[in-house]
Amino acid sequence: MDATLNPYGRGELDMRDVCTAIRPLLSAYGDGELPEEQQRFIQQHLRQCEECARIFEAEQSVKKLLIENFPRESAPFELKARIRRELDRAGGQKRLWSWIFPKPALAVVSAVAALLVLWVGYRSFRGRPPVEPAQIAHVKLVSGKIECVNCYLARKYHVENYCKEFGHEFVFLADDGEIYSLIPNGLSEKVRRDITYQHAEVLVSGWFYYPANAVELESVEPVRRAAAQPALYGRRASIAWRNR
Amino acid sequence: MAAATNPGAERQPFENVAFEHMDSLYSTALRLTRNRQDSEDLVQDTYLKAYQYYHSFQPGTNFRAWIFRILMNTFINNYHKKARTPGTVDFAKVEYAIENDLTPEEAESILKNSGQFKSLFGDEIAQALEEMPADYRIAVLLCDIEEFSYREIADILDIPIGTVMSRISRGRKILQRNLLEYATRQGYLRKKDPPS
Repeated sequence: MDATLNPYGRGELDMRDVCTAIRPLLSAYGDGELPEEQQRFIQQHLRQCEECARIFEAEQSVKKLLIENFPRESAPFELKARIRRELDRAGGQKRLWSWIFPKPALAVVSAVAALLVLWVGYRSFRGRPPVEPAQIAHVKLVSGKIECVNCYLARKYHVENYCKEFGHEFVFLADDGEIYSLIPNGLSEKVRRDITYQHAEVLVSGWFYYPANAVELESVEPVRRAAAQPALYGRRASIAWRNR
Repeated sequence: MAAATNPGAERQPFENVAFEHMDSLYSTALRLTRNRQDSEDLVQDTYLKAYQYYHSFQPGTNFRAWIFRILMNTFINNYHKKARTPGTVDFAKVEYAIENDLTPEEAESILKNSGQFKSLFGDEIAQALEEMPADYRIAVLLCDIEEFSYREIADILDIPIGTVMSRISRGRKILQRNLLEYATRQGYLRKKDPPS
């Protein structure tokens, strides 16, 4: 083994160790996605090791099979026309929208405000959880994100497999670093299952229970924000709550 | 910003760059939803969203990856639940495939029978793909069929590049095991080749 090409350390490597080390990389090697040095190292190993070479070839043959069996399909002819029609319609709405809200940021602020007003109205109309208006101190809008506390701690303290051992446990992590637990209900389950998993941006509203430092979610809405792409698909969420 | 004051003006440039990817988006949508009507709706939603946010696309960056990212997000948010057929993925099998590398003998069987796989296994390949967990399937398809780089896939799926690498590697392992299992079950291939 050429020691200069060994990216896994100094010294000589046992052939078996090399096999174990490179097997998970064979896929990326075949796609040409490894750093040049590693590509060269694996190429050289495959010339010497019959077993790894066969495993690599088998994978390549399945890849070829996949490509040959799934040729690109043409979109139906009518689809283009249909999309054009929809774009025409959307263009009209977009013009109207930009006339009402010349600045996208203003649109977002208004949308959030409208949501908030609707929500407050809806809450007081529905009256659940039972909160007397007199008890409501104020309405707060706080931003943060829904996060798995174990993943968060694992990242913070560089501990691996924390979630594997303890499972995911979702909390609301406010921007100021405060961690609130989520009171389980159908929506927190939905957030746990869909929203955080899919990294969608959501506006979360819910009830803040002060002594327990916990939040019960009441609604989860996707945020349509005319901002730059990362913000659009980021994981930010904000939560509106009332102290009770 | 021109886009905000006169959005109609970006319509033609948008169509020019976006429509050439329609076949590619449609094929991917078809593999994700497994249903023609849903695929058409998904592609349409993708174009509408892309148009809506086109002003935030930075010219000179990768448009194809950008619009695929919108496709994936739209799929995940609106169609994933509908498309998911619970029970198709056998997690014990998946776990086994992930934890155990293909043995050289198994690799040999795949190589020996790759010709037969090709002629006999159109549906089985589709089935073997179905039985992969969606995360792995999507990563493998984006890489092999759509020929995106790992970096682009990481951007499209919003996951770290290391995760892309492991999903593709594991996905292919699961796929190989599934194919082998079909072959054995159908008798195209015996566990041990009898002496001829």
